[in-house]
Amino acid sequence: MNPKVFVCMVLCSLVACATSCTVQSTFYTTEDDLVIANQIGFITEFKLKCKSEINSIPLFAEVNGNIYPVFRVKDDYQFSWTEDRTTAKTGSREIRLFDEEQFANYRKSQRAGETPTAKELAKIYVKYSGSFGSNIFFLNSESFVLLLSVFVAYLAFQNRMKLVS
Amino acid sequence: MNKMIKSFALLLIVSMALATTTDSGEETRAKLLVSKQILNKYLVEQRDILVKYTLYNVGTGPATHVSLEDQGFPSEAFDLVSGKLEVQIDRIASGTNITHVVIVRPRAHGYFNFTAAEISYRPVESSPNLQYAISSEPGEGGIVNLAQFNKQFSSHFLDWIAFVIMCLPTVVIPYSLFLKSKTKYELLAQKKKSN
Repeated sequence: MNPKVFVCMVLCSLVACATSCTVQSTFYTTEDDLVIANQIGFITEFKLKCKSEINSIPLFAEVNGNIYPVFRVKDDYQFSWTEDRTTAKTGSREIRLFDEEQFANYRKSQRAGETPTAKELAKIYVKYSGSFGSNIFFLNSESFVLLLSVFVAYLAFQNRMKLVS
Repeated sequence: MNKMIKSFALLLIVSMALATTTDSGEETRAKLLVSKQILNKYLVEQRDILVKYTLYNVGTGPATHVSLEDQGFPSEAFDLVSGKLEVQIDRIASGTNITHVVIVRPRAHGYFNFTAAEISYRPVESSPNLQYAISSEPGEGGIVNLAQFNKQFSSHFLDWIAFVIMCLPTVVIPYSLFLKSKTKYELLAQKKKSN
């Protein structure tokens, strides 16, 4: 596996007590600012196992306060979205998964103008640790070398002035 | 007069029935518009390419049994890093849009034609007839050689370290000579003073 592939196996990331669903997920976020224009891609692929043994139910996911349907890949699921690089904050994103019934409750309370209180089936966390361009450091290497040479020149001139005086 | 009323009533019923079918036909038909975008500034060999599919339902009814398949990234030319190129979704409500993201890495450099993805869905929920559609086409893009790209854009961190090491003798040797003579003459001056 490529070391840059930022895949984290979150085994049983949450066991929702009410529904006894477990989720096994992997995630990937793009970190390469240099080649990708102004967007961060977030992808999570997961398997959902519920006690009811219906493992391919239609799911809905809530992230950043918005709710979307989840794509199905045979018996697994994929949920992905993009965020603007300038507004994307580093840290964890919480994804709450709902089934159709809970989704209907969620929408109902949203329409009524209330805070949705629907209980999720499970939660997934996607970690975003920031993106970088050509430099891991905040300073270009050429600027760093320039600053270093200016510093050395300053020391040399200071010594010379001391000697002359 | 009676006959006229009857025919008018018949006409009214027929027109109402026609209106209902057209209305219901319009109300329940989904229409998907699909865009495929490559969100990269540069396409570089062995570096991430972010592909975003957006499905808009501009119809008046929900699209069901939606299937999205992209055969535009063959395994001999691209490594699939994350996401799947063949996905399904049960329902897309009218007036909503959803996104699907895939990350691939090109295996080699050169020009590549990014073609459209294929979509199939049921525009009318109750009817099993499938509607086939294709997404927008990003078109041809040039994938840059990784070495060439690094030459232009990488931080050259190691190169600069090598440059500093190469510069060191020209700075350190004269400085050490200077320091040596400086300490020597300072000691001599001190000795003279003490005498």
